[in-house]
Amino acid sequence: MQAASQKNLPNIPENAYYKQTSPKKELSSTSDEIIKRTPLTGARVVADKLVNDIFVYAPKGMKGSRNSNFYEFLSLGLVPNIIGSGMLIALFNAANKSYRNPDRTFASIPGRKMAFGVGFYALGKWLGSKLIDKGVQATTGVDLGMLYRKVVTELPEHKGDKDLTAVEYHKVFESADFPRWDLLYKYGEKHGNRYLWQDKIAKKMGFREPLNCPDDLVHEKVKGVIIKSSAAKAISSSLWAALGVALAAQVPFETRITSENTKGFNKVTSGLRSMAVTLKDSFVDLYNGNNFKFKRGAKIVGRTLIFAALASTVLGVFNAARGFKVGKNQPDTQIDTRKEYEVH
Amino acid sequence: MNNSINSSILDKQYERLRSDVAKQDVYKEFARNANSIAPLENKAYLLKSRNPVSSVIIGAADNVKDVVELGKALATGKSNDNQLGRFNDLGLKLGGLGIASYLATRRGTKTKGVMEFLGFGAFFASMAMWPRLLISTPLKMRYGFDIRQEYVNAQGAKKRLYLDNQFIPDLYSDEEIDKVADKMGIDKSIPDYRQLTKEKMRVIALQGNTLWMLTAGFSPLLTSMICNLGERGVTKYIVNSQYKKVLSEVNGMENAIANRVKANPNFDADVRKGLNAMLDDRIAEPDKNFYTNVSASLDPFRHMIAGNDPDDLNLVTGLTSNTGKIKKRLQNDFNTLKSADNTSGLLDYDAILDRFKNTKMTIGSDDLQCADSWDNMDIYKSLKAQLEPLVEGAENKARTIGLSDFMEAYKNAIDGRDDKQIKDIVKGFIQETSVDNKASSKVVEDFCKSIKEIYNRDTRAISSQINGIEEFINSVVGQKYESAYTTLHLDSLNAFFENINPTKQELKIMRNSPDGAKRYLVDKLSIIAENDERYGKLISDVTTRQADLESRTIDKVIARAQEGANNLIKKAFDNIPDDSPLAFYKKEVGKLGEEAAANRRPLYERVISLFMEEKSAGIKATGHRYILAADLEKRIQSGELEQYWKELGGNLDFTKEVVPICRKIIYDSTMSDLSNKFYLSENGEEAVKIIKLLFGDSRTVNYQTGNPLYGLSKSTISNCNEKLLESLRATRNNIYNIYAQTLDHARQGHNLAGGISKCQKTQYSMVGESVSELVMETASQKFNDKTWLKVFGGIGIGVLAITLLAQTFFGKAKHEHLYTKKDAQGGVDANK
Repeated sequence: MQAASQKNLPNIPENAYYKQTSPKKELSSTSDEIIKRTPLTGARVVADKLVNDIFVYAPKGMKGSRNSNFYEFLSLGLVPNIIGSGMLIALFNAANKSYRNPDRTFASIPGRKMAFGVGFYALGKWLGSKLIDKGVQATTGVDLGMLYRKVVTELPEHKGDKDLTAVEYHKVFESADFPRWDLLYKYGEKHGNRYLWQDKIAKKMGFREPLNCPDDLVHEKVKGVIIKSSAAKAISSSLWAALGVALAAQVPFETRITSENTKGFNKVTSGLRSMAVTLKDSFVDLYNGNNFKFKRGAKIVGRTLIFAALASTVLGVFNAARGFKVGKNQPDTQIDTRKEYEVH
Repeated sequence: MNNSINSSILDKQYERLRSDVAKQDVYKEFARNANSIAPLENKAYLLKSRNPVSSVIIGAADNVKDVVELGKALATGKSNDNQLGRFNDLGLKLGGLGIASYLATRRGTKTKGVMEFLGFGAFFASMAMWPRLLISTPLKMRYGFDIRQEYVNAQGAKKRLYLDNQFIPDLYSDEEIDKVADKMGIDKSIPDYRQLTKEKMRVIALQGNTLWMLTAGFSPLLTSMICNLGERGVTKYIVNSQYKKVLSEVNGMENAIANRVKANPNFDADVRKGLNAMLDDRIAEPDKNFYTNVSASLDPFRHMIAGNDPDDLNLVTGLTSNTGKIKKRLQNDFNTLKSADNTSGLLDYDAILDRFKNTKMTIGSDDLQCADSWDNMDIYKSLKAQLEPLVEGAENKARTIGLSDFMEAYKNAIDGRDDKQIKDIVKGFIQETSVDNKASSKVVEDFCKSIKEIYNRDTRAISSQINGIEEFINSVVGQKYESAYTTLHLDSLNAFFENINPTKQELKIMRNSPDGAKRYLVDKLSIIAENDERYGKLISDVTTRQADLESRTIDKVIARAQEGANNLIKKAFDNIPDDSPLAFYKKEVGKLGEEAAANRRPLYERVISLFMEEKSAGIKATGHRYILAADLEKRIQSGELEQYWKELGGNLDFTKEVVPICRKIIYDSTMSDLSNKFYLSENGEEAVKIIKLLFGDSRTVNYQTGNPLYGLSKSTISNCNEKLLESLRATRNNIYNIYAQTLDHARQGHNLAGGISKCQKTQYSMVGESVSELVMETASQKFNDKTWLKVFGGIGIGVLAITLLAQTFFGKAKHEHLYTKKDAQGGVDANK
């Protein structure tokens, strides 16, 4: 220690970052990494959250654990969604079976509509944000749903607590303020090019040549894309959800979705066909405002809903990608981007 | 760049720094002053709790701000995580509003529409209320701090203080912490009691938030409970507002209808067409149908007699005489028109035809057969002489009538054939006479014009008022679903059910068949009838509300509408000029608004009052039926019925035969049962007595015994709302009348049953719905409500209880000893 050898001077504290023990380093944020996505990854993450909600997060929260964090709180949000949906369906259906028959039939009509309404609400919400995600990915190359696995180090809860890590699933771009650029670098380094991802985005932006220092330019643009698409998703997914509910409120959903009296696979396909016909009829009714007392009003609101949902998606994607691309006629710069510079 | 390069640069920099420190002694200085350097001032602050009104206003203002921020974010792509989270909430509200407004358009009635909005509002309200009402408020009462406390951070963003368990800004002042510590009962002598308090607050907030997440899913339960409770309030509100609306609409009916007078452009063409078809303008003489049709068109009450419904025709028989008056007047007018100067060249067809007819009657058939030359016949000569003056200037051109023609005319006259053939002959006879065609056309033209004028000025003015009144009454007080009428009716039905108070098991039996409902009701009402107090309460509860319905809504609205209708028609009558064929209506004006016996009132007033009575008769009677059912049981129980049966001298066995028939009539009769009368047909002469027994006039007194033979039980009369007695009597008398008619004991207009003479349609409306069916349907509804409430009320109460109970275990912080004891070195052992 150089400083310690000097007289009358207190020790300069050790730089904590550079003097880590190897186990600590293992547990540090460096073990976070982007995970590869398959079509079922999303479902797996939801299942993981749900299981943890019940067996880990809720007990931790109810105990008042210091380790309960915001991710756990947000994950717990799944629970009221699921219970609430079930509750809404149950409120309109559970008591019906004890009614006498004509009442039962009449009560099952709003019951069926409510069940489809809840389902379509969830489906609409998912679809609304999915469509913008896909649209933004197609136009800008930014995969907003990119997932990473986060390893969290917890404080020991009691003596001899050894298992101090927990795994969380986050999205790389879930925070507009702090997107996890570091993980993208790490991902690139793994594949031999630190700027692998940034180069890809720069190319999508319209740069013909790889940039010397792409993150400088790309990160700012990507932040804009995240914010604009998140804002659009908030509106669009709600509109799609509303559209779903409105579809389920149509008269064709008053009758049961039946399948012909066949067995096995045929029964499934005929049920699906019946569902498709019902959906189509509902859409036509919604569009034309059929079967309603205030036909004109229903027609106006129905069409507004349809076109607002579609427009929110199209405009949302368009807006997110707006200003993202550089012009095709890039001026020749005086700076040679390929030239290397020395750091003095 | 990689870390090793980076670190080597930094190492060099640190080395330089260390040497600098050594040289200038800066570090020493810094170390010495370390305690005097204060951190930056905290700009974050806690939001004060606000009253509900301002929090709603500020909440709305925040929403507006969010919309603005959303626009900025979409336009510029600049925002932050907190704001993005708020956009999500905004989207939820927008979507909810979209759903609600769409669903509102598909609801037929106001209640349903309002409920949809209330449901949506209640859903959001319960989502917001659940954590406040059931978690944060009890905790605040217990510990003195709000786990939903909000603060404004240094950047000006509003956030919840305890949202993130691992980032809780230290914003409470020491005093506030002390207050919480007091509430928590923390020993203030321990060194770090404030830290301990804060730790406990964190734990409580986390536990509260977790509990919120676990139970928030049940908030739709709360929503539906709010809606179920709200539905009554909303119904009441809507009934009240509808009633007020109805009254205000009725009050404004004169203004609404007064300007409705519209000319009928088709009328002119119609009259002309009819006139041309029936009018030979060379003769200028319309046939008889013409006057009948035109006078009917000019009669403003025409549309009432135009229908095919014999009951309507019955009701308005008097109106046809008005048409006759108009017809006569038109004929006179036309004749006057013809005799004016410019029409002197016209033939007087009437006169010709009369002469012809008279003449032909004087010819005997023998004369006709032996006649050799018609020209020489006295009769022909005399006829010709009579006709010639009528045809001015026709003498020279007059063609002698041929034998065959005359023969034909004669035969027709003898055989009583129609006038048309005779007219044709006469036409042939005068074919060559000089008739002024132009003058004839003008007469027709003028007459058409004057009819049209009368129609548009007088008839149309009155009939459009009548149409307007009818439409208005239909739209305001028609028996629409959830009109003020029907909902108020539910009020008295509910009172009835509250009094008989069936259990769920009983409802389950009642709901399945009218027979089951009747069986239960008979049993229950007999039990109630045995107890005077219970019976009295039932009757007074039900009749009070029924009377309220009738006096408050129906009668008031009807009275006001009647007044409005009178005013309107009076005004329309006033506007008729004195020379109009409709002027005789003006004489009716004097009688308007006067108190008069029902059948003495002006005809149109009767028509309108019956029209309105028909509208409300069914609802009134349905309410009366179950009152009468209760009354029947009371009369059976008290022996009044049996006594009356003996007075009537009936031969049937009272208990075995009479009582079942009575119950069948009171409980089960529908309108068609009443028209078939099948219960009574097999009982012959006894039937009359049964009808008298059930529906006989309540004022009948048996002169032999001196006992009043009440149609209603004494107990019913003493407990019944006074206003309702007359109305009940009307219903009973009406049913009596329906029976009595077929049994040939009283016909329409006969006064045996109290002088009620209604058209049959109103009579049958006045029967109402059968008690057993009404009770069955209502029982089913109540059973469903109870079942629903049992299932979900149980869950709801369970979840509420768990939510509240769980909080009693809150706030037990771990490692409390860490804050209380310190070891010799002033530290603590974290592993204890």
